[in-house]
Amino acid sequence: MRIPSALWALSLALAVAAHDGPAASAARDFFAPYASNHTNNWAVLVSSSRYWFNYRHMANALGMRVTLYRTVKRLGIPDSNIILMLADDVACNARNGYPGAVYANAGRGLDLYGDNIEVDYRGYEVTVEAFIRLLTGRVPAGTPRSKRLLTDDRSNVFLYMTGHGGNDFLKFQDNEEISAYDLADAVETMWQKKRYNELFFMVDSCQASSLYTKFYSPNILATASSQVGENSWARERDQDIGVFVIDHYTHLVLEFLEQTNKTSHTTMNDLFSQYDPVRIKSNASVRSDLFPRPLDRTRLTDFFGGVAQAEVVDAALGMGSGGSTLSAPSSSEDASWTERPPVGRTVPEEDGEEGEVVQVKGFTMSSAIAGLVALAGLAGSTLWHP
Amino acid sequence: MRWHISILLYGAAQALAERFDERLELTALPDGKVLGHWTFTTTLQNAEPGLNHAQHYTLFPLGLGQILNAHGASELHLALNAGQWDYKLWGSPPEPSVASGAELWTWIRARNTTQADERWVGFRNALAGVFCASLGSLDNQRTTTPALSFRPSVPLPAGKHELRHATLPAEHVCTENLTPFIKLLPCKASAGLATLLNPHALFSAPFHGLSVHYTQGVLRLAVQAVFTPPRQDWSLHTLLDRSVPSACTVASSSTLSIVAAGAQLDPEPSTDVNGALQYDLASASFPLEVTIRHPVDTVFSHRRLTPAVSLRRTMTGSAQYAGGLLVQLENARNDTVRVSYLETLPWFVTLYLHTIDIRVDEDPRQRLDLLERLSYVPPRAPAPTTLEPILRLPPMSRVTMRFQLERAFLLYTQHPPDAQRGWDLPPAVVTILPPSSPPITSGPGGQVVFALQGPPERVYAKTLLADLATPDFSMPYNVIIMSSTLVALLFGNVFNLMTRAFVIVNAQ
Repeated sequence: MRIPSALWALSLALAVAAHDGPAASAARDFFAPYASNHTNNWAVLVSSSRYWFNYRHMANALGMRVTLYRTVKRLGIPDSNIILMLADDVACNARNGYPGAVYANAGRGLDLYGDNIEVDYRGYEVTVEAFIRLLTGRVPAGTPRSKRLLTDDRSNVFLYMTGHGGNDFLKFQDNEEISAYDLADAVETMWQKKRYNELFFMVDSCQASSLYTKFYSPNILATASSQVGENSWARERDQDIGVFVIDHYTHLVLEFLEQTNKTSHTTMNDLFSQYDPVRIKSNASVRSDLFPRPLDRTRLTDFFGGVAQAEVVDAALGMGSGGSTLSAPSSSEDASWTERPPVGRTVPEEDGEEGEVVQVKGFTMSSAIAGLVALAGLAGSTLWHP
Repeated sequence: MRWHISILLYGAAQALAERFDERLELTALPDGKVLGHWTFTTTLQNAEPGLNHAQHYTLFPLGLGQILNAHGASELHLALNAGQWDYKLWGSPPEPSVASGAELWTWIRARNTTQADERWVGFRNALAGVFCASLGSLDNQRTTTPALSFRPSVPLPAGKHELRHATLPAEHVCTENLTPFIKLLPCKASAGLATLLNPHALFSAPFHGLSVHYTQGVLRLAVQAVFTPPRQDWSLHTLLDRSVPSACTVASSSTLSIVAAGAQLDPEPSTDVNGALQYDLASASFPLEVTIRHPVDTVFSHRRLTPAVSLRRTMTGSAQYAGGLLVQLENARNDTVRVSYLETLPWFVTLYLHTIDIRVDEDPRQRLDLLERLSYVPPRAPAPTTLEPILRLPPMSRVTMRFQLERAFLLYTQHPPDAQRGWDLPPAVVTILPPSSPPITSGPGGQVVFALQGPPERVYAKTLLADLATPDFSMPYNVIIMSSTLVALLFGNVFNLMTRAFVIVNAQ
């Protein structure tokens, strides 16, 4: 069979290139069998507890956000790709002696709230229904863009949850729970709708590992702060704030992530080998049977780093009315960006599908209550909703 | 760099003339606090009404412009406040919307009520996304259409318009609301007066609020806050922990104005306008650091104007079915004042209109003659009550209005997660109307039209907390467990009795 000459030339070029230095090894690395094939990163950070004494759960989620978001020098997932859900407002709470600031250590070193923060779901909006709709994409019509999880099948999603939990559930707002079955079904819906490439699930709560035991979808790596039957412990309290400000497990993870940056090759195994039951007073665990890649080849930056595709262009791009794309650089290039193609009425946003939240298996308290309410024949409009 | 800016502005002038002005007014208040009022105004000159132009903006925020256009909002007023405004000590607020929590009202252009409702849903959700506030919760349980209050500030463009007003009294204001607010400004937080918006200082203030106003081509973003200075002699640095690093070059005017009688300012202000000492940031030296000293312990003489009417509202009665609403309107002027009182109560607080009781001072007579006109929309779950009487307050008097009301017993699924806290009732609003002539007329389409010069003054009452009886939320669980246990015991015993054969076994 004749092989085309072009193919010969290409293979020759590759063979030549393969003997080059760092560029070639980087290219080889890119095509390596265990490299992740994601193109964008998203993070969903949920703090599900209400009330002032659960300050530490808000601080947990904010600490994660700061690690993900803080300056491009560090790990760099932009705020637009982070969905932050805080069930209560602690920064501007009347009980907060330091308004506008949330601290995660005794002595109040670093303010996690800062000057530039966007909380997507706040207060009463953080409900089990809103969370499941966010994950599955079945948000009500009119939901703004910042409250939608716009992932695709090449997105690596980091899902972090913290709050009070128990065996197979996590408590939301102190009056309802999400069960591990609901969570597993929601993630399966995400998989069926091609809404993630790989999912990294981290949970810090009591009996946290029970939350990940029910997953059955592929490409999920899960880790939790404690086993069934044991608590996760708060770490330290600040004397002036008056409540516990961070949990042991999250503090360990954040401390470890401090050492990484966008280009580091630290793997998941490095993070998981840091787990120390003596230090954090609980047995943190990992579930990797649903995850295809070996953990010693899976990088932290696959989930914690923002993938940025940067293309350096030499010529100036003009967007004039003639529709030309590339033009020679001119002295009026600063003016060109003000001319935009005319924008008429805005295209209405795609409506999210508003449908029933599918429960494939599992019977939960929330569905029991929903059933009772339906039996009572009530119009849903007066039921409390955020 | 200046010539680049002029090319930018020239390019903008081809499409739309835009103008950005910013102003900060710091006023010393009688109780030693300092009122800070930031105003950022972006004006679209030569704009056609209704934003029906191609949106080639340079200074006007495109995101907000697109939202206003897509949902047909001709007028928008959004306020996010925290704290209590003290009318007696601090006078009339520079921004009249001082209701604690979120208040959103808008005039929406729509063919009919259905389209207005659809646009209202989209509009409040879009604003919720922009400002990170729970404005999506302003649904039909909280939305009203007052007939007499909240008239348009400027004449609306052509077309049928409908008013939508909603409040969320329990809403928090925090840095996540300030961040997108600042992003709507041309210079953001890097130059100009917006650099002084330090969230830590702003949110420690006893009263602070952000507001967004859009009318007829003018977008005005305002921040007002009452700060507590650490000492009598204060500076921008001690008050706000910031100083201005540079001027905003796209601002047509950028003014810092300080009103403090008997104070010495350092550096010297550029102008003195009616007692307000002003700095023009275009000609100031940077970083701008202003210090105020009171060399002599002077008796405070400057007092802001207080509104003509003061309002006090309380709930009376502690029983579920025998509650009352008590409203006291005090007229401190020497002539009759006409006010429109707006009360919106959620559907679970039922007001009985026939129990209305109006008295003046200590006079025991009923004074229903003071009631000029009444607009009343009864509650129909989930829609709230809208009660709008127009009252004529006699000079130098206190008018007391009483209603009886009843609090409903809600189903356990209708309670919020922190049910023990109670329900926040939206604040009442008193709109001070002009005197009887010119009279109220009916415009085309039966709308009420007042002949006004400028927006009338509004006075807000405090939010009330309605304590509704809460059930024992653990009861569903208890009932299920108890009945399951009983059924299991009963069934288990009956099953055993019926299916097991009991035989006598030999002991060996």
